[in-house]
Amino acid sequence: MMLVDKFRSYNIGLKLSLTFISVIIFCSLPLSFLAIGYLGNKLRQHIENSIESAVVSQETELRNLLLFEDYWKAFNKIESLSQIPGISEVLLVGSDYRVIASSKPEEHPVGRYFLNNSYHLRIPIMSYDYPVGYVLYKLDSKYIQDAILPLKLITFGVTFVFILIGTFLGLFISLRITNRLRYIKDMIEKFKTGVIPSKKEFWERDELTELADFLHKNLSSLAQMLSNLNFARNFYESFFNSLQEVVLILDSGGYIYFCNRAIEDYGFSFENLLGRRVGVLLVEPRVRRSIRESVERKNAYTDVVKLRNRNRKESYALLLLKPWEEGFICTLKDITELKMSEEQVKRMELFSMLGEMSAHLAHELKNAMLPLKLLSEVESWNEEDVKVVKTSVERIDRIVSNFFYFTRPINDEKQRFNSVEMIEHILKLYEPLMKKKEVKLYLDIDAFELYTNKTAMEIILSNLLKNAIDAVDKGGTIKLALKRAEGKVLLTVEDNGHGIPEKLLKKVFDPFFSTKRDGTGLGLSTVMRYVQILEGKISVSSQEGKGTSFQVEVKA
Amino acid sequence: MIFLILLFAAFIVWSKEINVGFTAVITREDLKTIREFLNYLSNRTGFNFNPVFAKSYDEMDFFLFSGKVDMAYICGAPFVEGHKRFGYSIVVAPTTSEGPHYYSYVITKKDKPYKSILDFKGKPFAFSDPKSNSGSVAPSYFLLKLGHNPSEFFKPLIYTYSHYESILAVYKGFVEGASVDSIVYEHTSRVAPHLVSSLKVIQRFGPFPSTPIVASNRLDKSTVEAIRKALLEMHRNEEGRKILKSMGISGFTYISPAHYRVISSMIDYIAKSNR
Repeated sequence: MMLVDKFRSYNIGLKLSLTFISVIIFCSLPLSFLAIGYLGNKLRQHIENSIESAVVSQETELRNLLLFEDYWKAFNKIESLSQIPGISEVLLVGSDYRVIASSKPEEHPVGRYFLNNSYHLRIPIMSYDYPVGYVLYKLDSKYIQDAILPLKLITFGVTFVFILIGTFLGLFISLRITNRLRYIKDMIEKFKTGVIPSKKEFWERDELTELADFLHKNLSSLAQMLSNLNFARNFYESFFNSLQEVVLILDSGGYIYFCNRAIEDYGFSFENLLGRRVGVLLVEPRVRRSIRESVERKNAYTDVVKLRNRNRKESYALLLLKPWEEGFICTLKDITELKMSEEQVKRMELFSMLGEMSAHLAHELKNAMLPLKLLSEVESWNEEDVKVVKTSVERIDRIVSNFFYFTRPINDEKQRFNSVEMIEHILKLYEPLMKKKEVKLYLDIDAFELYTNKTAMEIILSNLLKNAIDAVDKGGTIKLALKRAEGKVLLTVEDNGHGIPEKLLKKVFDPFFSTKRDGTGLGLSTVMRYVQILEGKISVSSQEGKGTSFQVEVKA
Repeated sequence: MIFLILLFAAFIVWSKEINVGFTAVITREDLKTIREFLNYLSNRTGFNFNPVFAKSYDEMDFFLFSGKVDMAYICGAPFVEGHKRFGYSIVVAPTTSEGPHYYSYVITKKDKPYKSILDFKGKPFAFSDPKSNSGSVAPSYFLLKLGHNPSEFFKPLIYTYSHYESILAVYKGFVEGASVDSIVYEHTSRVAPHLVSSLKVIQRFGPFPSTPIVASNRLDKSTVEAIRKALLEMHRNEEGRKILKSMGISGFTYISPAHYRVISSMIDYIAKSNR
């Protein structure tokens, strides 16, 4: 396994060379050994045939030498046989293996008995059908080895040359491959830095060169494209960053993957926001929830939102969320100053209104207290006087209560409640009054869940309904509608009363303004105040003699 | 007419063919020297000499007896027998610097420990020819005198039928030792020094009268005389000396048959012992 792991980590040149060498060794060496072995056997066979034919041709003479024990002639004969190439020793022995002659007399002296050994081959000298002696001989293995040595040297030399060629070929091919691979790698590396090296020509016209050319061509086009894109990106980035508005690009899940530098004004950085939801920038949970829902529904969303500001400043922005491609573009236009100015105007208006209110209140109280002042100068009160005092006190109480009701603070706690239940609750309060005036009530109520300040909603509805009831004559008609559209709740209260003259229409929401004889003039002011608390809008339309319609639009 | 008679006589003389037999006493392989020797004789005598080789002394005896050979260069022992049986006459006998005699050398390889022929007991040993004096009779006589039968003493006793081949047999290690003619041994030491350089003489028997050139009794005396004369004078001229040197001898001399009694007595002893 270690060898395999080692092999895997070798470079392509070494692998190619090793493959070539292995192929050469596994193909060439066995063939070489076979050829050498075959030649050796052939040579051995040839030598054996040579001596056997020599013995056969001289069999008569050898037989006579054996019979006459002519040692010296036998020796000469055997010595001549031993001269056959490839024979190292020849002996002539009798049938009892007594040595008659030996080409190596020192080893096998004449007259001694030959001790059988397997290295000697035997050719019988026959007389009729029985052997009278044998020619024993031994092959000269050194001669055979020497004879095949040139073939061995040539074979191994050729194999070695092939191995060398294989190694060099492997190295050469790998060098050519790695050279081009390195070129491709460099090209890609440089491409990452935006540079494309000049095209390199290679001798080979194979797939690798084609790949290199193909890559060069396409990367060049890509580089050009990237350059254009880069320019565009820089342009748009600069453009985006030069914007005072915060621009956020969100993916389909609502996660930020781009934002411009305007966000830094709020103490955030792009790195802080990357991969996070827009909600991280927003203070109000309601807005966060609304944006989440818009993202889920792929809807656009617009709202004035309070932003988190790490610079510890209170910031407001106009948030626009718009679907774009697969994601969203979200812009945040800072309206803090506008908001501040608005608040200031409101405050000034409030101060002005308070001054006016105080004057009205003082006037109303003075009017209400006038009978008491007159009666205080009378020494004794009759029943009528007491009644006047009582009425005056009640009037003062109502004025103070309404004022108190108008100015009392309310908590801004929100809760969930059903639209139909709220309408039913308010109608139940005014049911006796409507019955008394025989009011025809037309309802167009959608059933849905609201999430807002319930008390404020009830006060708004209650005051508008009370106004409508007061406005209509006996048997008059009131239309009450409650709808939901685009995350907003629309409340419409319409009556067919006398209507409001156009010149007074602008003052209907002013405190202490009333067209009614005994009205405190705080009802619609209260409605306006609560609509503002709910950050909604209220509008009125009226025609004299035909009726009045109030439309309230709040987020809920 | 006289001229014609002389011419005819000369033609007869010139045309006389004499076959000369050569045995193991001379290195038969040295055919060049033999041809030069016979050519020399032809030039000196006017006869035509043809060499005839025999494998053994017995064969040469037969050639002399049958007339195939007119004169032969044989060993002392066959001469003794042939002289007795067929009337061979001595033409000449070779002489060396030491005289007209020679020895029987017992030779072995230089690296062998043998000191005497007696040390070869149970070893392969080579005799040249059963009828050779130096190559068989002398060592057999010596052994028999000491109570050893050569054919049982050596294991085995090998006959090479040539002193030169006995030298070769020792040289090649086929036999442990051999008894050879001292003249052939010395001659071999000159013509084939590489053979003798690895050999040594550990014992010698003799001296014996040298191996004679004998003539068949069919060869007329005048011819024998002419040949003898040519041979006896051979050492006196440059050409003759050169050939003699090649033959390993210094010249020829005449020895009477009586000198060969010593060999005859040895042969008789051996014959008696084998009975």
